Amino acid sequence: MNTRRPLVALAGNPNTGKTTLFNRLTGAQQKVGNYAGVTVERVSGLLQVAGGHEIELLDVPGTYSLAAKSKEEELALKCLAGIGGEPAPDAVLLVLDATQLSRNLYLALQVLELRVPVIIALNMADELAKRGQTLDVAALERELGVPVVLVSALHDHDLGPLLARVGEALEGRAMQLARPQVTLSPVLQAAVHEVAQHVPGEWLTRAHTQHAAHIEARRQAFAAWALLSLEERDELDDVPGNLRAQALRVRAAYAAQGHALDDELVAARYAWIDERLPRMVRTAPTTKPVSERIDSVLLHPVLGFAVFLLLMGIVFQALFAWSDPLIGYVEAAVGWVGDSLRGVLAEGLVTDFVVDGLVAGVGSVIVFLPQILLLFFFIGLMEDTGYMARVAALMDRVMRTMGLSGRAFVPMLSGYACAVPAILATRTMERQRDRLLTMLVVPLMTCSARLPVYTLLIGALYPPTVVLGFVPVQGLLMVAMYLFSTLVALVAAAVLSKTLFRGQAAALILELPAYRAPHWPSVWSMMRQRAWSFLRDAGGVILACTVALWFLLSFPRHEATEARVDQVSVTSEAEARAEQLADSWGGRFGHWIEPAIEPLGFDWKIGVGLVGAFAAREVFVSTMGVVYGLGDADEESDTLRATIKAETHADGRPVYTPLVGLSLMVFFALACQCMSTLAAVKRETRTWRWPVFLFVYMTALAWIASFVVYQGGRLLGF
Amino acid sequence: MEMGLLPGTLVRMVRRMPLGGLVELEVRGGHLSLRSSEVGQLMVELG
Repeated sequence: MNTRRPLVALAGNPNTGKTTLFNRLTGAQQKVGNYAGVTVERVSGLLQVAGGHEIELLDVPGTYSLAAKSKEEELALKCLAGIGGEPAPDAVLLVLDATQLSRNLYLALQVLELRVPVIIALNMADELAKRGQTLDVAALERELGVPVVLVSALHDHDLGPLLARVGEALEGRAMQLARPQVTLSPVLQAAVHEVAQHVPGEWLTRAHTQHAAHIEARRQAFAAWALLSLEERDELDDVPGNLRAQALRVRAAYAAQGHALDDELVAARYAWIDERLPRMVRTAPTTKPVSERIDSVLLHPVLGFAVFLLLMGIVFQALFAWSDPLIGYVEAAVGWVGDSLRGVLAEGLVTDFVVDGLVAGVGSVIVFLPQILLLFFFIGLMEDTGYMARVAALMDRVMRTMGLSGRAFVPMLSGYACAVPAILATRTMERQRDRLLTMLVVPLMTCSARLPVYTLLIGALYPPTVVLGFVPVQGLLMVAMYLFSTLVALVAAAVLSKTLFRGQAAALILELPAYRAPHWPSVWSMMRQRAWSFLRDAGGVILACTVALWFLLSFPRHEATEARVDQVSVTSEAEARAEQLADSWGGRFGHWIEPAIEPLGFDWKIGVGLVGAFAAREVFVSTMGVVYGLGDADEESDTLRATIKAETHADGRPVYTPLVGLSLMVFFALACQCMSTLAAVKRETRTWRWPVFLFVYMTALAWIASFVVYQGGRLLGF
Repeated sequence: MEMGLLPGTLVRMVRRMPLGGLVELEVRGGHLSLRSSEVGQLMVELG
């Protein structure tokens, strides 16, 4: 036994209860990291197995096959084979769904070909009995040549026997030599042989594959894998060029003779399964499975949609309305901490920094927690019960026309409340391409932080009149802004999917897993993980940005201001704050960008507001309050509205016309005026490339659209 | 293919999904949903 802690990889198809089993085995002892260079999380946990070993259990991404077509499948292969920078596992714990054995065995055959010690956990054995089926476990064990243990991850089933087998495998007692041998046709054998010489040697030698027969088998397995997986343009890195070239060459050569090698390989494996499985599983005729009866309601053309709309309505209401009091509590608590500190600390620069910079910064991070926790509660519930797959199927048609996956629906919907939890929710999509695309369009949705800005501008600049007899102009404008943002987001998705993400169509086949009761600890674990990783990874960036913004808007210190603040008059204090702001780096920046925003109808004061709004869009309102010397003001403030209406340029023209208001609202609809969104995208993509791209494309879009609105409006005489 | 939909595999059509576009099939004891355009590529023998 070496001194390193043994690594056991937990693998299986999606929807097999793999993650539930993982949570049961590791409990709270989980460690969340990221695989190098990709946006897939690497979750592992520590546990004790028989024989006193402490092992690290790695939750490998769920996959139907090791024939890697996507990043996730490639990762599964890397983790199981120990290639491409991933440590080789000492054993693989493979979870199979007993009710879906035929398809699950397909993955099992591929894993067994890799000649790693394997223990099979046959999950949902109790379901099998309910369906009136019996399974000959001893026969299955014999055919596969590895230990098979019946478990029920969901129910309180003793996992001791499973851990005992893992312990034995680690001690080499269960070192299995006899592996299933899939019969390959002579053509396939020849093709595999031609590719086999190009399999890199470092993929073959592993601690447990010293045996020559194992090494040769592993070489064949990788050759078959290359024939099945590699394409001219795929997402796979770390594949040697000569292996790819040879696989493509061999496949093309055989295709010319009428042999589709990949199809024949798949068929050969399924032939192995189809030959043996009927002998092991006995089925008694049963009634329709419960799941199918549930689906006849939930996927009903009318009823199904009614339920879908109701559930989505609840999710949205939770994010939009129910989270509000919770956010209020968080804000009140942060305010209380700030005030208490101000009471204790001496007045001055350090106190300002601590309260307005640090405490406010921490506040702007944790203010997202209520929405994140609520959203992941619902997502966890929908994933765990199997409803999420139905959402994806129901929305597939609609979302696909924009190049999005059906699973993008929930994140897009969440975007109407706040882009930050919505961006974290893109994780429910399996493919990196779908996640990125969704992340890049979600910030265009009208989030709740834009509402105060719209409310202020609409309230100040548009009359409360009605058109067509009963439609209020102000309400109409608000609805128009929602429709506008939705339309732009959908068009942006369509354009991006045809340009930047071209040629990577979304998955064609969706599995509709059987409905199950939710496993509450798994739901809770998901909520906790998401919230924690947000705090840890995005929190720092948001905190740093808040402090930086505070610095920009408070420095350099205004000597005259300091003196005048001593006078108690409220008006002069507000005026002093306005002067201080105008003179700060941020204020000067507003002046500096004036030439760039003048064609949009904005003056430098609005420019300062835009700088302040980078902290969060609604901060625009309070910043404008300070700019106009009104002190603290909110979007309902009559003084602020009146001031905005009365504000004039040096030559006496009003600054804010209805046209300027519209141009400004369009700018807010499209610009990425939100550092937290950028921090969340950075957190999810693990690179600055995508947040920078997001910021640049949204700002450019906003500028162009506002320019068209303002200049076009002027040409039309508004 | 890798989801077990092979020549000769027994398939039961469960339902057409609302909104069109997808159909639900029972394949090898599990339920899959496929786009109708994909299903069009399947040659189905009734029996």
